[in-house]
Amino acid sequence: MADPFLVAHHAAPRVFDISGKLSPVSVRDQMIRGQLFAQRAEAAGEITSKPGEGLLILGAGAGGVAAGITAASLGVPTTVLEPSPYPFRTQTRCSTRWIDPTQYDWPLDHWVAGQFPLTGLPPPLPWRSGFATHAAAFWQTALQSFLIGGGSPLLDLKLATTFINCQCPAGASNIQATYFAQNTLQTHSYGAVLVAVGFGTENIQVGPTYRGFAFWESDLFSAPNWGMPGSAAPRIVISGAGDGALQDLLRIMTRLDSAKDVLDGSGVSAGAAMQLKDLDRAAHGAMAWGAGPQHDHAWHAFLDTECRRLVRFELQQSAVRQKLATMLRHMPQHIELIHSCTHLTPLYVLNRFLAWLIAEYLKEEKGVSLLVARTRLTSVASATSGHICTLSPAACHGRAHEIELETARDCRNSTLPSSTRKAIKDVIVVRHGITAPAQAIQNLTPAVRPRQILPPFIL
Amino acid sequence: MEFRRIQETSERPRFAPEGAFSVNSSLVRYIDVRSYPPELIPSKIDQYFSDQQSDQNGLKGVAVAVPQSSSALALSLAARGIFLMVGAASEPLEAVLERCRAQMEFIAAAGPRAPGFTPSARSPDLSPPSRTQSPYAQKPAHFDEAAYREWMGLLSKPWHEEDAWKSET
Repeated sequence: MADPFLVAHHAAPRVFDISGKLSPVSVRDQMIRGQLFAQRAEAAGEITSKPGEGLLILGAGAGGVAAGITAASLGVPTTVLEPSPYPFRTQTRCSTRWIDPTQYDWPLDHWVAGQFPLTGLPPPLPWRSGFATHAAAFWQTALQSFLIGGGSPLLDLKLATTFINCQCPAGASNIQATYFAQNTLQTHSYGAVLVAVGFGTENIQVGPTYRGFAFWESDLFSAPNWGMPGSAAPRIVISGAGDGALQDLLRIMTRLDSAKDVLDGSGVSAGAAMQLKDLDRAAHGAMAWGAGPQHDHAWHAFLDTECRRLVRFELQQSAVRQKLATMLRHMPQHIELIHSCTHLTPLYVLNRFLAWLIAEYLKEEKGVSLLVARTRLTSVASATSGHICTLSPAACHGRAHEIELETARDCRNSTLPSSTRKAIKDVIVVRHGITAPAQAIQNLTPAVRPRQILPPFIL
Repeated sequence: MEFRRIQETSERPRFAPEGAFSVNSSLVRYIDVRSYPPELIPSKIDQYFSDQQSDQNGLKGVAVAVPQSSSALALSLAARGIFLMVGAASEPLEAVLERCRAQMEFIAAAGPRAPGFTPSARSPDLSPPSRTQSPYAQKPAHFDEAAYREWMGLLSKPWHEEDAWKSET
């Protein structure tokens, strides 16, 4: 019987894909997928220790290297091709994004430990919560330790390498892959090829000249006074309602690095935690198998409603209000998060709940509307003398820009009279999701569902 | 060669540019090559560890270098049993080695990465079909030749174009 995991990720003869349309998933999820793929492919005899039956992996990110270490540790000669000069380049370059292998498993037992897995087999790349660049340093250490500990003959990382193509007629016992490495064109045979190259292109540009900080880019949101020169009060807008937008909202509002810290500081009850976990489980099941805008809209609206119901209950507790007052005492004076529909759109309920907790608290306490629905960012232009936007977020950060906001249709595409307004903002965060590869390419793995998080206990 | 014991005295820095430090209850030799010109670093490291036997984990020692523009040196040293730790030239050696110790001990505590470099045990009853008969060697039912060709084209695109913005930071 065919392995369901391999079948789901099977894209072409002897080619498997754990990237493409999966977004948004977590770093941990990619590692689990890489590890599972190597274990299952070896168990199925698709990759072996015999010459010409090894594994070729495209991409030396967390998922690709996790797969590589796992395969090599099973005796399978494994080659990893990486176009850049070092592995884990996405996280290595990002010193401001906090990542945590268990942040969204709340309130499972290993959540408190900040370490994954709590028990069971060691992962190929162990890590604990921290800034992305620190996590990448742990992975680098694990990789070097693996090579030093006997993995070197079996795991070959080829850096600064250009993949050319691979050829495998149906029914062939091997796949031929060609790449350009160390100034030579090379063709070798493998048992399988695993594609682990990420999810596509992040949408962070508005108009031809403005670009916001990317999710995995070192930003200035945690800098003193949010990176503004002097003591000027920044006027901040965040455009988007997914996990990236809400993570940045929480960081900017509380000066805390992670949703976990915000929750810890909020004094929310254990009872609410359990209810949220149920919501989280339901959301992960439903969103992964959704069937279009109507379905998504109904689910997001339901999750928002449930989170707000819990928030109203929690805000009746004076301890929670006191803790929120303390946590938000240094929040920016001018900030709003605009989003295009009537609801937020994160995959993780914890982000959704915390955003609503802060928004409802501010509404009751100060009459401030933090979350602005049915609004879309349509243009950004410099309003600072001598400053020209050139797709450089660090240069634009903290400078006055005129933005145009449009009344948006909701995500079911219902009609609404369009109106626009303009505003001046100094910090503009753009989190407009990720554009996956073309639909035809996504259809190469129709059984893989986007937004599907593998359960942490699967290994 | 005997390990040079580090003396904690007020007259000298706690960590000299060459010496040994404790990781996972064993002494590991190290060399700090941050002050060397890049072209001399590989030979200096090789020379320093040339007479060093690997420990049971295959580790000969740790080299401390400034941050590299590529992992090529780290990978080539790892193949020879040497762990490369990077730290800014201004960072005290003691701090770099402490980070190294913390990372290596965390990795070791998480358990062995390699279950022996041997294939998993497979029951004879569960022997896979011949490679040519494997379902994964066939075109999946949903296979689209044109999409596959387009995909291969995307995968071979230079990464610099795809995320050139990352180099700005």
